[in-house]
Amino acid sequence: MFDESQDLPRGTLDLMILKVLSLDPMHGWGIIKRIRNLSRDVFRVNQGSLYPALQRLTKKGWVTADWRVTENSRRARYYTLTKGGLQKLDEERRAWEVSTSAVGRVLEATS
Amino acid sequence: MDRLRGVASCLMAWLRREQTKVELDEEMAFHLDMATTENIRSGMSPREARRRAMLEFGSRDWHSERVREERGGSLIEDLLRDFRFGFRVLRKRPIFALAAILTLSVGVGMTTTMFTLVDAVVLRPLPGANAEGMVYFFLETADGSGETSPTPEFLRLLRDHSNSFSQVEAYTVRDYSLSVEGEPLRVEGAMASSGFFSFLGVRPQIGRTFLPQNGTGSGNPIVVLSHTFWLERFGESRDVLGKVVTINGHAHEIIGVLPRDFRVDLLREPRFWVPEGNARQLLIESEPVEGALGRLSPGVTREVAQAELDAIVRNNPVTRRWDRDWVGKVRTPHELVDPSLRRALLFLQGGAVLVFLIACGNLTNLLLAQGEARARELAVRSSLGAGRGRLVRQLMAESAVMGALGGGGGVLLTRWALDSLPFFLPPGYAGFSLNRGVLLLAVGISLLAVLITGLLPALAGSRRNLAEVIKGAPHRGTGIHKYYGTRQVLVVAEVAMAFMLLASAGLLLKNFSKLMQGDVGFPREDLLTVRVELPEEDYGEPELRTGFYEGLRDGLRAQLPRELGMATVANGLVENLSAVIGPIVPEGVSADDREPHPILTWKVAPNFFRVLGLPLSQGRAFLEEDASGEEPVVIINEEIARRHFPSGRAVGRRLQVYRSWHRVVGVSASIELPALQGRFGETQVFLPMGASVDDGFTIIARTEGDRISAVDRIRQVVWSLDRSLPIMEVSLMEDALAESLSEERSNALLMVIFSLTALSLGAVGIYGVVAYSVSRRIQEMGIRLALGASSRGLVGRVVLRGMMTVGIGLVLGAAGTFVLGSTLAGLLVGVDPRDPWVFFPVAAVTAVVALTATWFPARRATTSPMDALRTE
Repeated sequence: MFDESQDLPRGTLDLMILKVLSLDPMHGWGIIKRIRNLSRDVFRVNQGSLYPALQRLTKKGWVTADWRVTENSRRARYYTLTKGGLQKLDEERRAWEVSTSAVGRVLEATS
Repeated sequence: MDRLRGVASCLMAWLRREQTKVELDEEMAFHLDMATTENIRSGMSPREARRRAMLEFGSRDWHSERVREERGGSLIEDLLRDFRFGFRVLRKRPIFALAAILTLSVGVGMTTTMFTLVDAVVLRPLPGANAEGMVYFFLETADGSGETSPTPEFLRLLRDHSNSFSQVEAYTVRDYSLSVEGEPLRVEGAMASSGFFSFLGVRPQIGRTFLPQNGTGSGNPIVVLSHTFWLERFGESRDVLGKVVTINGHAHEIIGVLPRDFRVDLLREPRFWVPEGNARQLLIESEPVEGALGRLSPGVTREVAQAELDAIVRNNPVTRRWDRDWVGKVRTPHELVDPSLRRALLFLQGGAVLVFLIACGNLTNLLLAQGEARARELAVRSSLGAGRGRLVRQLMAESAVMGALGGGGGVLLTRWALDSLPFFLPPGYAGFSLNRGVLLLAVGISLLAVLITGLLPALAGSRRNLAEVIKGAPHRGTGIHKYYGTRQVLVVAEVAMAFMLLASAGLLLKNFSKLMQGDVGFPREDLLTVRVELPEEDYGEPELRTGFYEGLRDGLRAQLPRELGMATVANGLVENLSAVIGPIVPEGVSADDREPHPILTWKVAPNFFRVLGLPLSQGRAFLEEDASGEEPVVIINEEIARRHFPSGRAVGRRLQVYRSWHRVVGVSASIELPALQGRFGETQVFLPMGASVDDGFTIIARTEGDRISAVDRIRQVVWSLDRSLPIMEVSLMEDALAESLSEERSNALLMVIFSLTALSLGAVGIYGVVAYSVSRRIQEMGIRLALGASSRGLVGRVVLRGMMTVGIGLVLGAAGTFVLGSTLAGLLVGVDPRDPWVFFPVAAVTAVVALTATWFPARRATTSPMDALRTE
């Protein structure tokens, strides 16, 4: 499946992370699992792409990170979507829909 | 704003870097734990679960590296890390590091030192002064053959009648009797117009300089000390302000100290300055000052100023009184530097630049060799995820560390060199201080050197393909042979430059020794000179000077055996000479046909010719009565006799010298002064001492063996006449001759230092290249040896190959020296710049040094076959 981040169009990973975080604040491990489940095992995000991506999003101010205690009472770094992140997610999602439907129209063209 | 925030977040990130790292580690540990837990839940053993989780996770370092790159602040961190790493790498290879740093230090140090010297002598004759629009005033004879400084009365004319100059200031230097805290001294002091220091823009070290009212002669006499005098006499104590020193019998209050770098003339540093108009120190109206300066009024060009000056000189009662035609001249400070000195210094500066280039070449060489040696390390790191940018940056950081150390070393070396520089220079040049501009220059140069030399190997080193390097195919490696070529080109250039420097040094040395050993016209052995000077306050009256001279003459005659004797000379015998330009008109020739010559004049005692051993070809030496005789007499040298009395007998004819008629009583051989050759040593005139006595004598004595007792006896005679007179400058003729050649000596010495440095650096370069190529081919050598090649043959081949490179360098160097010959010719007297007796030995020396530098590493090619093969 898609193991390597390089196989994903650039920005797709960021979009999926933002989406996952818009549901709930989550730690890195959780984000990977969530993306995997939601994509029905299609996307297995590599740790090597995830953490740099999270760093990137934090730096842009779209997510914030803080240390919390998990349900199994372990310390973990949770990432939360910010207001700016929410806005970005909307923008990105709209852009994504425009481009996928455009790609779809191209692919379905019959003549 | 964004950029500012970027920088701020960079800094913050950097400050928080430790915490960030810990947090990231914890985050990844958590991730691993979760993965492990899940694996266990799916039925694996804990051990297996952990193993799988870690496998899946991959390299934590690699991840954190990626995260770190994503995060800001990594630049600072990277740089610091690179520098630390650079230090570590250098420490691990001390010999390489030392070689590179020393090379750089030497190159930077030499260039900076020479630049400081050129800066002080050629570029800024008046350090610290506001040179904008500054001009010096001179008076020149109409035909341009002679010049003098203007007189105070003429300067006053300028002040009153010219519009071109916003200021006209002057100073004059002379010897003064000084008493400091009861101790009498005789020192050189200066008197300056009251606006002199403010004109130059000199800020005093402490206290103040002159005020305008100091020039009026009212108020208490004041004095400003030079920095040197302050240091020597008062130990830089700030309490000196307000203290009183006695100058020529008058109390003067110290009001200030001049800054350390202040000097009006490279060769003179008056110990103190008094304002014109202080009691009894008025300038003599018709006596030329030491220097007269002014500033062009805003918007006035030099041409306009010169035209106005011409008009003033033409139409003035003061100038009409002068006994010959003078033309006023303005000159910029730069035009004052002696052209031969300027040429010599620029030539030496060129030499230093060559040394610097060689040093850079060497550094590049060393770094390239290092790059080769580290090819494998770099390739491995590159494949482990280090980006090319990072590798280049890290190699650059290594070079930067070396650049910084080398630059620092260069600055230290410069300090030391500037301290010892006076030893290599003609007397009087002293106290060169490292200034900030030069320091910046040194830093700039070392950074430039690093940039040039660091970039090439960094690019070569990072362009590696791991597979190729690991495969161990260095000989076939792509980049390698290309850079080997580069390095050989560097060696060729180094050898060529070293040859040029050596040849120049050889020529200058030969020049110097030829001048030293040249015929001076009289036997120079066992000739002693003693200088006595008569202070102006005690011997101001001509009768007093004449009285002293006669007493000295009689006393010496009584004290010294007949064959010894005294000859007195107004200036010196061979040093401190200056020529007066004027016409020599023989009897019967119209004065209009006169032809001015630089005339060298000695006032001599009757026994001068006998004591010196200067032969007279016609006529006689002076007699005692010549000094007081009715008709002035003169002895001329053969050159004048040949030129003006070509028919033969000159004795008995009359000759106009210095505008008065003299009867020629003798014709003497010329005093051949090597330092004056080609300048003004041809026309020599001897006048009898005694008619008018100057304020100083040089006593010449031929000693047979016991010099000390001769000096003692001279001293006794002098002190029996005046116990307070100091005996100055006792020297041997040999030394005096050497001193008159001090400029030639400096040129040769400095060039020898440069060339030896260049040669050593070149040898290091050759060694490096050969050692490198041998280490590359050590396997091949081993196989050849194993197959029965003789070790001597192998070494021979390596040496031959190295020497071919050297040979090309030698040929190029010789060609370069031939081309430069014309530049060098200006510094040489009587030595052909293409002298084969210099070229061949220089080529031989270079070749031998190069051979040695090749042979040592070449010998390593013959390690036993087993060792050679085992190296891989």
